[in-house]
Amino acid sequence: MNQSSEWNESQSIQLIRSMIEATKYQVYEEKFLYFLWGYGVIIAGLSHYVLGYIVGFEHPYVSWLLMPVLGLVNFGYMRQKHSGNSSRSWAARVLKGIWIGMLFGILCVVAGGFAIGWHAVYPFFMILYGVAAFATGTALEYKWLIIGGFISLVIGGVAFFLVFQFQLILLVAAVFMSFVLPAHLMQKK
Amino acid sequence: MEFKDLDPLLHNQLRLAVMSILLNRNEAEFTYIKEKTDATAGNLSVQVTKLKKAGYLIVNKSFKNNYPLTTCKITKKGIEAFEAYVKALESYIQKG
Repeated sequence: MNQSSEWNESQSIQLIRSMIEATKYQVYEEKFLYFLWGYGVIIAGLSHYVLGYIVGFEHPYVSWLLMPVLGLVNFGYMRQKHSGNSSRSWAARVLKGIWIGMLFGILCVVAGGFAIGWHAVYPFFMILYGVAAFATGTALEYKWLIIGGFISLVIGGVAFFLVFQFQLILLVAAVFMSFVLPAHLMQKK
Repeated sequence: MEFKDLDPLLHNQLRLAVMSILLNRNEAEFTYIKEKTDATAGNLSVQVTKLKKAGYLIVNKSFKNNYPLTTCKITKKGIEAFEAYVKALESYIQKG
């Protein structure tokens, strides 16, 4: 880009628009994380169901030990990704706040699970997934995250009326709708 | 509505591009701005220095993994100047 001798006002507007467009945060940038957590929770949830209700294993919840491993992978990925570039858009900072907020929300719900029982708190996982996906989809104007997040919220509401066995299935469905499906449909604009 | 004066410092293709990027990302590495603006390092350096002298951005030089790292960050004065420039542009566009 070089200095132009004939530079008018509409070209200025066009340039501002093109620069903001070229540097804006796009949803596909975090596609890997949606797959990581989406498939991770689906594998852990289905394993819990199979071990607990088909195999009859005494401690089926061990499948959730996969989560801290995913947390480490997530941490390593983010560290590597942002090590070479400190540029962060306003949208990226907003989303960081939403997802870190969701992470702490999930940790609080996990604490609640130990205190009042998993059956009582499982719907809140689905609601938290739904809120984060819905907010992200709205911020980035990505309809599949909005739809997936909304369905996850509805599933979370329904889960309050069901027993734990079916809540597990609903959790897998909620994560599929709010993480996995939107990630498969993400495309670079 | 009257035509407002356009800030001559911002009414330049490359300087305006730099400020647009920094307005969107707040802080960015020199190499990132160079890539997005498709400018030469020399020209970009000259324009960044002008913006820095005007107080529109801060340039920070450091090292990362033994390589020099230059980052630019927009200042409050820079944001205000950019907003005033866009407002002035609107008066031209609406008149036109």
